[in-house]
Amino acid sequence: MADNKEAITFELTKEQSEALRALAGSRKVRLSGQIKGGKLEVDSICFAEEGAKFPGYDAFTAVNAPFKTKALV
Amino acid sequence: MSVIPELTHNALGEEHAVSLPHYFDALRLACEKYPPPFGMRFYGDEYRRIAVDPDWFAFSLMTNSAREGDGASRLWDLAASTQDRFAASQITQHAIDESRHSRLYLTMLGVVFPGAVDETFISEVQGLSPKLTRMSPLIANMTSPFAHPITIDDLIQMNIAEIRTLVHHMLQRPVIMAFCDNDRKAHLVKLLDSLLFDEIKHITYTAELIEKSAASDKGTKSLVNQLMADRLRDFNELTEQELGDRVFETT
Repeated sequence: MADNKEAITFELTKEQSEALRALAGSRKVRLSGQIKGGKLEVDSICFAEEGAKFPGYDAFTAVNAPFKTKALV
Repeated sequence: MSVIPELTHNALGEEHAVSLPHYFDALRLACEKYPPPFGMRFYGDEYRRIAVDPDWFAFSLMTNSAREGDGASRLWDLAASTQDRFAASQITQHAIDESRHSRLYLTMLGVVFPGAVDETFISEVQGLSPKLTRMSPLIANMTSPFAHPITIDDLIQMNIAEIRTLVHHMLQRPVIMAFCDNDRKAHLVKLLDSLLFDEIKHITYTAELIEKSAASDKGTKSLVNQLMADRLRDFNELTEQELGDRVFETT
């Protein structure tokens, strides 16, 4: 794990850029799912890397409104 | 020292940032006390590790769409319940922007991964967005926990959340550009620029409202400092929960 005292960076590494370039011409992305109780459920995520651990459903998603249901002040 | 205050300062621009001394004091103090994971190298590395998978990336665009739609509804309820006309007008515009962003994420999905999602499912996901405009009746859903006049606490939460959303945008941009076919990149850049412009606008107006409140008296400035720290701590915890079992070392 990287030292978390270091600041976040935004650029891709050389390896990541190359991987994306390789994928760009041959990808076959397919998503399916449904809306249940007003919530999105995506049910066919075919991750390329078998056995890889992916974060939860809400990871790296936008939040733009108060995130606590009861503001105090 | 966390990079987040500097990143926020740069996003707002020097000219604007100097007019927000109390706000930036509070943000710096909060980041010093509770360094946000979304300002750490690990966070960006983790994003890139998974975002290079096109399936996950497409999934992420769709979940972002759903979250923007949900946020728009929350903001609409707040705007409709807020008596202060100036603040209410800004929150209303914010809700309209987020409603548009919800659809914009699906547009980007179609631009970058054409045919990845069938039209029926896309239509269903589009249905999650409230499709707000200035013509929409400004009425709160009274069963919503956000049907109350906006508070300084709400504004601080919105501001912190928008800063993280800006970080996500900055992480997302090089990846989505790399995935996109060359002949569609010009269109994609316009969509991304529109998103970026709005995210910075939302950080700015919430910061201005926080500044106005903090500048009113010493007691409120102290309260703003305390709330900024408390809510950053809460949002850091939420961020870590969202990432599942990943361990953050924040010291």
